[in-house]
Amino acid sequence: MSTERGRIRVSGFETERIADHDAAEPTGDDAEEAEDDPEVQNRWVRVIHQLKRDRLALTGMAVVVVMLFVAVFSRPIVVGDVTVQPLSLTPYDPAQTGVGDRYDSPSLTHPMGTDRLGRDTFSRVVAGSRYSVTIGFVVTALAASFGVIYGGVSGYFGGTTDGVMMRLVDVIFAFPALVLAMILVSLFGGGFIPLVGAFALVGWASYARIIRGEILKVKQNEYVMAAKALGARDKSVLFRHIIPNAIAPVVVQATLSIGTVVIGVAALGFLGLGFDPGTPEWGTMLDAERDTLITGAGGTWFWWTTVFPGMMIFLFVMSINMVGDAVNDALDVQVDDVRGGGG
Amino acid sequence: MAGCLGEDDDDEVDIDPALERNDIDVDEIQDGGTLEVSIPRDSIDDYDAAESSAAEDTAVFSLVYDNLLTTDAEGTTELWMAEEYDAVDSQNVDYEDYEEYMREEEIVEIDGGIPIFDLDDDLNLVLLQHPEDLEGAEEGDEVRVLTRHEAEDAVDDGVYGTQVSGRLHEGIEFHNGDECTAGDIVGSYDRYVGSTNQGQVFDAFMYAEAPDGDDGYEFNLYSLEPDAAAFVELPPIDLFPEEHHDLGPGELEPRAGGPVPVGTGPYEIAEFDEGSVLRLERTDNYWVEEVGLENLPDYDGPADFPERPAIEEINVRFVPESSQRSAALEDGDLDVTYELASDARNNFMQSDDFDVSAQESTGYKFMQFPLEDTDEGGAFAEAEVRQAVSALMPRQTIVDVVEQGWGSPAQAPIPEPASDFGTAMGYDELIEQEFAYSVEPDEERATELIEQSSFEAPIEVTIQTNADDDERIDKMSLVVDQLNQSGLFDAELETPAALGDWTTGDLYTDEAHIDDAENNACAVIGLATGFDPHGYIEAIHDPENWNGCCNFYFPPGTFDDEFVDLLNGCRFGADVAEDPDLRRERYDEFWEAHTDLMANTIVDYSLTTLTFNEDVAGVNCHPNTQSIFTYAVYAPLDEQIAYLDR
Repeated sequence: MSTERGRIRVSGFETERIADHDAAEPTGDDAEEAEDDPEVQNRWVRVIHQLKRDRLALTGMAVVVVMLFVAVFSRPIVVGDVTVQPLSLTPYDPAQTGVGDRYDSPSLTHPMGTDRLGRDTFSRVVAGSRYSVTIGFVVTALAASFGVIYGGVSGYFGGTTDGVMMRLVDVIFAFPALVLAMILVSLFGGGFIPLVGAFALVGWASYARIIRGEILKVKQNEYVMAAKALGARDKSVLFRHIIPNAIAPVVVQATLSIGTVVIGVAALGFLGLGFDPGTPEWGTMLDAERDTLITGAGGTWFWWTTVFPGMMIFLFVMSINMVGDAVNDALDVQVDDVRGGGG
Repeated sequence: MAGCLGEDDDDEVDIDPALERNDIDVDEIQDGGTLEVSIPRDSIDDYDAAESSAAEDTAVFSLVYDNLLTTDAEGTTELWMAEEYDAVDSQNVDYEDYEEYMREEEIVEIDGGIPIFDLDDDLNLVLLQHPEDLEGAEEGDEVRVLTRHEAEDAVDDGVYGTQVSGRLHEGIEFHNGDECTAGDIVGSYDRYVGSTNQGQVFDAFMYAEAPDGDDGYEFNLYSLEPDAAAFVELPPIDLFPEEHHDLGPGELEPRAGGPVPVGTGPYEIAEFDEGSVLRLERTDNYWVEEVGLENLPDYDGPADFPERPAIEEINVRFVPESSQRSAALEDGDLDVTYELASDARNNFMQSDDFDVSAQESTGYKFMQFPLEDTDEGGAFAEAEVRQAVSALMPRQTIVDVVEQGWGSPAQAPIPEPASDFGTAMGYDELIEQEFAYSVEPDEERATELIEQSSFEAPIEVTIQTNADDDERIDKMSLVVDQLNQSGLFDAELETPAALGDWTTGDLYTDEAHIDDAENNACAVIGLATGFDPHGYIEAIHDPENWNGCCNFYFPPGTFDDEFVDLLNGCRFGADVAEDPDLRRERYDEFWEAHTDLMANTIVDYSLTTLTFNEDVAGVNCHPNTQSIFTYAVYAPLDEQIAYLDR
């Protein structure tokens, strides 16, 4: 404590220092590394170091990054009348019919064959990443942002506020997430924005509950009480001192949820509820070609029309889940309530 | 667009064998067995034929109900339960002739511009409203109307449009043993009052009588207006026994505790359960056996042809998904099914163990444009824009790629099977006329039309169709792509109400014609209207049929009087009722006006198909989906009978 007249300085409660320290004691390799390093490593730096050593996670990360790249550059992006991204990775317009014959098998001209209307499946699968992949990230970002704020407020203030706010969360959890998303989409129509809205509306609750539980623990820490004692405002305490220290499980949940959202959107697409027919979203493509799975007596299975979109869903979800698992391990948190259809 | 689609003939399946009849040897017919069939729904929509509007229900219950007339595979109407039946006379009458029989009724409500009356008798309804009283009429006003109660007086005084007289065969029994007499014809109309199908029955019908009493066999049917189609339009849709005459709409529903439907058809309902079981058994008192085939005026087949179906039982299964029906047929769970995907149909056709029977049908897909001239949108208010969309429609590609040849591109506003009374020039000449639809996209013509319009290309338009119909979606995907490739339109495809009923929920509303006009949105649905040419124009144009199937954009006042007069003049009038050639000429005038106005444009005409395994012999398809099973199983006037040869 400072003895300087007119000023009181409480030492040992600087949140920056606390944030820089991992709460858990390092073990194994980490312990050795920590011993080598005079400063205890930053948690996020340690996560990155651990991810770098996880080949599965790196592979998953690479696939996700490639898919994000493809999503951006698959087709030109026009905002208003201005083309902000002129490149196009697809050899054909994914909506154009008759670029090949009906159900052409994979060839050099059409690496993934053509569909029933002679559209190039490769172009559609590539363009489909813009819908299927981006929606996972957008939904998760929205749902996590709102959920963190909601759960943060609920957990921080506690009491009646917490009780009322958590009952709303219970109401959301009372509905099967995918069914609730279906109802919302059928009410407000399909398309990118309604789907984002539907999945975000059903997905935020899991983040709210997770962070609220963490906050109930974190807010008991001395540095929080000290901040309050020093007269910090609730907003500052919550967003500067508590949430940054409770966010780790949310990050893990978010990483794992991206794949769940993509699966959910594909499921709605397969049920004909996602995007308008003809949209090259992977689930919608599967729905449009499902009749090819049962061909009638002695018929040919045009496998490429369903295998490639299905494989892309599998590849992306598998990859993002591998990244999520690695983040989970690195942060050493237990998130085991990833809910279907959540965001 | 679609540059090479359909041009590769290597994999093309020849469907001509499916269009040929499957003949059988009468001596080889085997009696008995259970035929497993499926309908593309998850249940019967409504067991009450007066209330049901689902074609799949009718396909099943046409095995239970026979009628006065029947239609052969060529579309020719023939006498069936009627021993005699003829349009006796027609006379020009209008509302002024009915004035003295009208009574005053108070308008209790105006719903969508249509006055609603609260009549004292549930079985009564308004047949005609005095047009002079309706101008500016509001709720609470008294207007002159002609109801069913007054129709008898008018007929007694010789005031009617067309009279059709006939006589039932003696000895026809319902499944419950009651004899079917003229009283059952008269009483059956009561069941349609207030029902879903009321409009379909009472749009032309005015009065029925049994001159020899209810137990007699003679009957007279009268129409309100002189009607060239009275011959086929006046009989009730189905004939009900006396014990069912008093049942209200929807009360003939065994799932709700009501009685089981009883008819005079070859099969009766033996067992039912919601969504899982519907078993029909061959009736043991079928009227054809009693009357004898030789006594049917239109029968000219062999003397030893069976007088009842050969198949003992029909088990109806409910399989909504076409892929599931394909699998069930392949696995042997079904003997006969219909509405399979064209690829699956091709595969079954090429298989040695299965076969397909097809027939040019009366079904078609059409695109309807909202004509409202709205401040926002309103592109379809201009005929040039509508004509440009029609000119760009890749009709041949649609049939080649989506239907795989199981259909035909629309070239005229009526299909060939319905053209007998529909043109004086012959169908081949009709489709050569300048106003005929182009089967290939005509970009040059479309460009000219858009340049003549007040809109600048590209015009943003939306094409809407049913979310649950994959083939329709594919067809419209091709249209949307063609419109976009032309550079004249910026088109998109929408399938509204994925979980609900788009047509009843969105299209048949008072606002649809304005909302969709503002959004430059048109709608594409399908319809099957039978063999009378008027079905192809009345249902989709007649302003009096607004918000009924299938006019969702044209309320009264949409078309000018000249067009409406031309439309009505093809069917209503003593001249066309008595002179079929004049009627044909009227239609030829109308087709030109029809395609010039382009309020609707036809996309394609379908084939009806039945896909079946080798256990079933003698299957042939009927052009009407509603008659698809009953025709295949037993239609002696066409010497049609199917049997099981397991």
